[in-house]
Amino acid sequence: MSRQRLLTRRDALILALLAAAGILLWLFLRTGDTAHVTARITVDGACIGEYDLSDSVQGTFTLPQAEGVVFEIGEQGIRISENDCAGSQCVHTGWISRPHQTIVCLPKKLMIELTVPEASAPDAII
Amino acid sequence: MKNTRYLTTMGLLLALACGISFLETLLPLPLGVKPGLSSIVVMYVLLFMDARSAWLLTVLKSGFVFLTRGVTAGIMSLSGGIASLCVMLLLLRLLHCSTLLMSISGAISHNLGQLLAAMLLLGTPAPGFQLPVLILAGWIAGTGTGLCFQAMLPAFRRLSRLQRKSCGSSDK
Repeated sequence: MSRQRLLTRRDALILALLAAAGILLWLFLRTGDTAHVTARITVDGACIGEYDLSDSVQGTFTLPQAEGVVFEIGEQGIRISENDCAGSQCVHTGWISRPHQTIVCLPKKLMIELTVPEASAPDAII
Repeated sequence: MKNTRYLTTMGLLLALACGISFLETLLPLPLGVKPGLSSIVVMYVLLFMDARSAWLLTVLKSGFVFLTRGVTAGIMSLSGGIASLCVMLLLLRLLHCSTLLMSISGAISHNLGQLLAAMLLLGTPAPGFQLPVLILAGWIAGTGTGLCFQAMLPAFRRLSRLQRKSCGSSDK
């Protein structure tokens, strides 16, 4: 093996570009409006519940189609507070509150997706 | 190099990679992110052994995840591992890249491979919005593993010299 270097100038440039791409995408995809966010809960693509986070009752709840999962709506948004599946990646995700954020439980094919209601989102900007 | 020593080395490296990745699942980090320190083992195999062994290690490690944490976790581990190994191999062969570029792009492609697998499993592009977060998380995690790898390099060199020396008599 040849001498392995920590960083060359060329590689530093590539890494800076990667970081810039990440930050730009983050700024571009970040939508600020958290006022009228709807949480859409789906299992295997089928919607099993929709909650307007601004005027839903706060607290924990369960759904019959999602056994073993405890959802919670609170000041910080929505989260999965308990899940009996292995790993519980979804519980570690924590709270989400911004449009397009998702919480996913792959073993159960369950997804919480935050969307902005159709009415307030323009169909097209001309 | 198909001898007992190779088998033992691979067994030890696999146990190391599995052990590290298991310990990482115990860390209570936000968003379910992990530092991915087991990629240090894969990088060692890539640089000091050969690509075939790296593929073997990646697939066997996913097999361990499959057995201990279920089908979905196994698929995620495999898709991340394959994506990351493909990118690291390409960068190493084509650019003779430095440690940090290898570890960071490996971490980012690991995340992207998993994102792609998640989108396919769920049948919706919705998780795609996590892309920037995954790129930035991979960037940070890759910096950590890259620095660790570089710090361990002197020890790795001694280890590989020792291995080659003792292999010399029994090989060929």
